[in-house]
Amino acid sequence: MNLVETGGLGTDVPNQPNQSADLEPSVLAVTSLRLALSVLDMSGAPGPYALVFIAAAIGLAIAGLVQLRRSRGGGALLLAAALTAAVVAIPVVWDVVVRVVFKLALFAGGHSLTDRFGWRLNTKAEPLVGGYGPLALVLLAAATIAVVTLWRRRRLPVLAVALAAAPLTVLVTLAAAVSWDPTRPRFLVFGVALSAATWGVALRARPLAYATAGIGSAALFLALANYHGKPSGLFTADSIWAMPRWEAQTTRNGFGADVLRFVDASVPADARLSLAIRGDDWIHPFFGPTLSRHVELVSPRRGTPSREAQWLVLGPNAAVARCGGSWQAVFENEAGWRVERRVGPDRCPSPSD
Amino acid sequence: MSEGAGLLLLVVGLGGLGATGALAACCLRLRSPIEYLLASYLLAWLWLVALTFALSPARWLTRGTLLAGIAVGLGIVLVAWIRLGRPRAPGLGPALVRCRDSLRAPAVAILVACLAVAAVYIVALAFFTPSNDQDALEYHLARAALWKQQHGLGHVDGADDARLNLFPPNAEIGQLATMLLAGRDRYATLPQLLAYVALVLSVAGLARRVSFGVKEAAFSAAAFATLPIVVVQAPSAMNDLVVGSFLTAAAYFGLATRRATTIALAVGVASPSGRSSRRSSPSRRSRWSSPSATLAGAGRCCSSRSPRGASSDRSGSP
Repeated sequence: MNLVETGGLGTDVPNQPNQSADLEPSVLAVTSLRLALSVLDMSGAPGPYALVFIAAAIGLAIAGLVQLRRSRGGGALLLAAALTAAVVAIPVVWDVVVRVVFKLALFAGGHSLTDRFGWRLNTKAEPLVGGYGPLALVLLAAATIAVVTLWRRRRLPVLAVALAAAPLTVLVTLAAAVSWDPTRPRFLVFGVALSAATWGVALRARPLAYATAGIGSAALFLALANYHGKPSGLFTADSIWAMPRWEAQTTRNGFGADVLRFVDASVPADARLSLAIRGDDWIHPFFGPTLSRHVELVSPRRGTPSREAQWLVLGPNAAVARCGGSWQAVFENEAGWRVERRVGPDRCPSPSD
Repeated sequence: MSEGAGLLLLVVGLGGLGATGALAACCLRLRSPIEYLLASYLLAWLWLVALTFALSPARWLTRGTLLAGIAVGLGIVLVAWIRLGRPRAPGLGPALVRCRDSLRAPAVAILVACLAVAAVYIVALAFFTPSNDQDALEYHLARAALWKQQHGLGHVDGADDARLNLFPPNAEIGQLATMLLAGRDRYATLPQLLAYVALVLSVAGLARRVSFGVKEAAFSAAAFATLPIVVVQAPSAMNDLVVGSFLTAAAYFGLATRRATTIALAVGVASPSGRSSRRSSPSRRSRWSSPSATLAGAGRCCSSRSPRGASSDRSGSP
């Protein structure tokens, strides 16, 4: 299909602007380190929300104290409680570690290198920029140490070591393949999944196993309750459950809600709509929930809407050639979005902007 | 078409695909339940992708042709299954009993209980809230809807966003199938939801391959399933879990022997041979093939996504 429709077999994606990795050693090293830093992550737990981990720790501590009173050895639970509570210190650890990496980057390439990266701890639980949470940090470290130790004692096959090291391998591969972007850590999911296969080793150390339960359940709760794009309403006034479609698709992600609201209210569900927008603008909402609108894309660089198009949505700075008397503006906003409705057929000899 | 009728067609279509995958996996005579479930998943995907590609050049891809193609695939596999002596799927009962036993470990029980509650919320997010992730609205869902409109995969004219035309299409083919069958975008999150399950299964399977017990494998899988990025991707219309599930399943089968290896290393491209796959013994584990190739594959897949310009989240110095 590539050959027929583009004349070449490859997709040429690595040659897209800003996507290719810079293979200069210092850049590669800093990119790898920055990707590794993304293991420090507090997805869904910005600021005071991290106290949920303290709540989980208190639960473990109470269970431990109850067991101690019954003389059944609650020490493991108390240790687990301490470990669970300790994850609230991750922002502090981040602050220390990121300074080291930043200074290394500064030394290696100056501000031209440091400016290529973001240096903020992620706290958003979100499909694009979200991370693996505190549990991954704990288990990647603990399980790797345990696996290597058990392998050296010949109690685990070398395969376990290979799996435990997979995130590192994928990380370096990723750093060598594409440039840094805050959305990159999600691409490590394959490596983390391979490594996760060895996390069962933590079950052999009861404090670690209990801490996994505590941190994992708290992280799970926070990720869903504090889901950035779809807030549950538990911690914020906004709730995805109370939003109409146009608002749900725009409120938390920066797109002009007024454009979608207007289109939803004014453009018929079966309309034929031309869309002249630039890359990084949203397309899908214009189809409507039942995909009943016919959407045709028109180049925002002097493209021409079809004769059948009844509506025209122009993004900021879009330039579309059309017959002046055929279209009437019905919506415009400060960001430069414009919606026009056809009021007559195309009759001019040559359409203009 | 009413929403109920659309849902019915979706259930019929996906049920047919699932049955195709399940019967095809039976023909491979796999012994492990995890191998069987993952093989079914991959083979169902294989048929869907192949069918979509086959119907696309002539612009024949519609709800009717997709359903007909699924029925044809099911028929072919059914004949093959009968001719092979109706091989049975591995029994899930004993495996479920062992899984239940693993819940005796308190840490596993806590994680599984939390996940069970979370699963309800995740499914609700997936089906009862509109997709609103940036990449999904910019190109994942958009290209699926545009393909539906033009009755086939192919070049989208007028696209200013290169991702609409350049990126590998498999996950979006799944979204397209849900849109065609149900007549709406509500169920376009299904590929990621199913991939979430497949990924968790793969993690458990890999743990078993490394010689961990059922309890440890369940712990690994449950811990992985709670990771925030994995959890919030599950109800989304993105594609990272779908890609991850294919790669992880490939690694899982890559660690097995003969037949199963061929199933997933190419995600269904290679044809199986040999009799059956067994759990690797330590002496046979050395056969696990080309992890570096798999990892390189991950790099390729990753490099081909999200060509966005400068990030909005850069914040200068720490």
